[in-house]
Amino acid sequence: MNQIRNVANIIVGICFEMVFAAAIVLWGLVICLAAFLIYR
Amino acid sequence: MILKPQTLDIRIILHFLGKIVLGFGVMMVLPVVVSIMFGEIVPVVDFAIGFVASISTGTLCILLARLDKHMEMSWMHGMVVVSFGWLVCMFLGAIPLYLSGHWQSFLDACFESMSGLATTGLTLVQDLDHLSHGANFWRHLMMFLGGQGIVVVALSFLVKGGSGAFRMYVGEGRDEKILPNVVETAKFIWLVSLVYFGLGTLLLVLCGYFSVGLSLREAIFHGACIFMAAFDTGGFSPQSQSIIYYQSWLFEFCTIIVMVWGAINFNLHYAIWNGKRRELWKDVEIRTFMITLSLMTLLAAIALVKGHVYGDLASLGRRGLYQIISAHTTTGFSTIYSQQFMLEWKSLALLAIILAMGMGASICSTTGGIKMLRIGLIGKAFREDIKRFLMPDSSVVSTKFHHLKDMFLDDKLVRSAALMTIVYVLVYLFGTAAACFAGYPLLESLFESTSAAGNVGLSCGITQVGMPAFLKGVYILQMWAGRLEFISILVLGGFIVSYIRGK
Repeated sequence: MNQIRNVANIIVGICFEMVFAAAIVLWGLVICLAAFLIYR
Repeated sequence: MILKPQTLDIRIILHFLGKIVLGFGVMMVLPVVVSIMFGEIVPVVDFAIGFVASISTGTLCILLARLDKHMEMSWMHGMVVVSFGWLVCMFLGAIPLYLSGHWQSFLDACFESMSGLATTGLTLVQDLDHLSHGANFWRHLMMFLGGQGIVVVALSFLVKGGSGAFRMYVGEGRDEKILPNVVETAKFIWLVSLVYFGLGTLLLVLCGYFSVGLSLREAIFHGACIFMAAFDTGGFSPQSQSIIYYQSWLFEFCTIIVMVWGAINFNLHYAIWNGKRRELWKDVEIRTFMITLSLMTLLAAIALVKGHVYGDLASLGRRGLYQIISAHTTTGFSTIYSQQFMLEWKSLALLAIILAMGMGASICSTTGGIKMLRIGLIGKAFREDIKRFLMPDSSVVSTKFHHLKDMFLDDKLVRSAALMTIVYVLVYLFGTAAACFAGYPLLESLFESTSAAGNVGLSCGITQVGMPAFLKGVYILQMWAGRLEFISILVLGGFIVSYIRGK
């Protein structure tokens, strides 16, 4: 049971880090959009 | 009086150096397998020569310096083994590259080898697009080994635990243990890297096959190589056009995902994998990274939009944002040509990218540069000082921060962070002065020097075969010093001085 929980934790952790990386890209695009709208 | 190192010191250093070289040599079997898979015969011979040279050097060192049980490794031994070991591995790793004929001189091959091991990504290869798959794989594999650490490789398979192992681990620029035992720590670093290797390569292979249109065999090769360069924040690529070659926004997006994985502290990976996901938001490193990344993106975006460099949001994202993330994670992948930095980008955007390269990402990750923890601590110390002026004289001001656990900011921590930051800045300036001396303009010199010492790999065009040999030497020194974070190299210098002048 413990082993299954550990593996599940790792899979969720990897997905979480993937979402974090995607969020960084999205956040960067929001900043670019803001600069684009203000200084265009 | 300076004490001359004894024969016993040399024996201890040679013994562990032998083990590191042996581990490094064994890795040359992998490009041989790749060469055979792609039906390349000549590279097999090149790697066989490199393999024999490495194995015989390692074995000779171990045989010459057999250790007794009572021989203990001191801090000095550990530091010298690591810094000298990296130099020896640079020479051995350069042998098959030089034999391939794609590097003009052995110095160029050494430059490539150190650039790979230090996860920098600056390259002096000629006609990369026709380099054999085996040699190309070896460039990327060196990045993978250097990113995790050559000592970590040796610790995982060849060296028993103990204080000596910890001293070598620290010498390689990592002072945070993830698990109580340093060998277990080394094994965990490999576990994370291999799990991500499987997942990241699969992601890039699917992108390469479906989105870019590569054949399955090429998609696997490119996927594995790009993963190793991205996760280890290195920046080599199998094609001379770097990421421009793939002409796919999806592929670019996937490389950013892998770069960010590589920029995260291995301790944080451990915490997240153990269910402590909130650590990601609480950690001072990630918070500082988000702040600096936002600021640098904003600076670059304003400069690029105002200068009419990119006319739409998609271009701004795929060129401007990509370069900033690549620089801040110290990877060095590029979606523009190196000359475009100087010809198209405005000074403010260049300043943003130089600052991003100089700061780097997490401690105990595969990134280079000053590192976010140090920047975060210095920032917090500034805030504490300002608070002190604003509060009544009798009030006691203390600052807490979270890095794996809650900690109080003390002067010792701030001093060590500030010292390391100053040393990095001095090394950036040293390289800048060297390039200026060679006749390059100031901004280009600063860009290239920061890229070399921060182990980034973005280039504005200075790094090429025709640049002066002494500048190649300076960049090799910067890459080596930046990756090992100076201390072990200074100890090696002290060791050599005491050997020559000691009594």
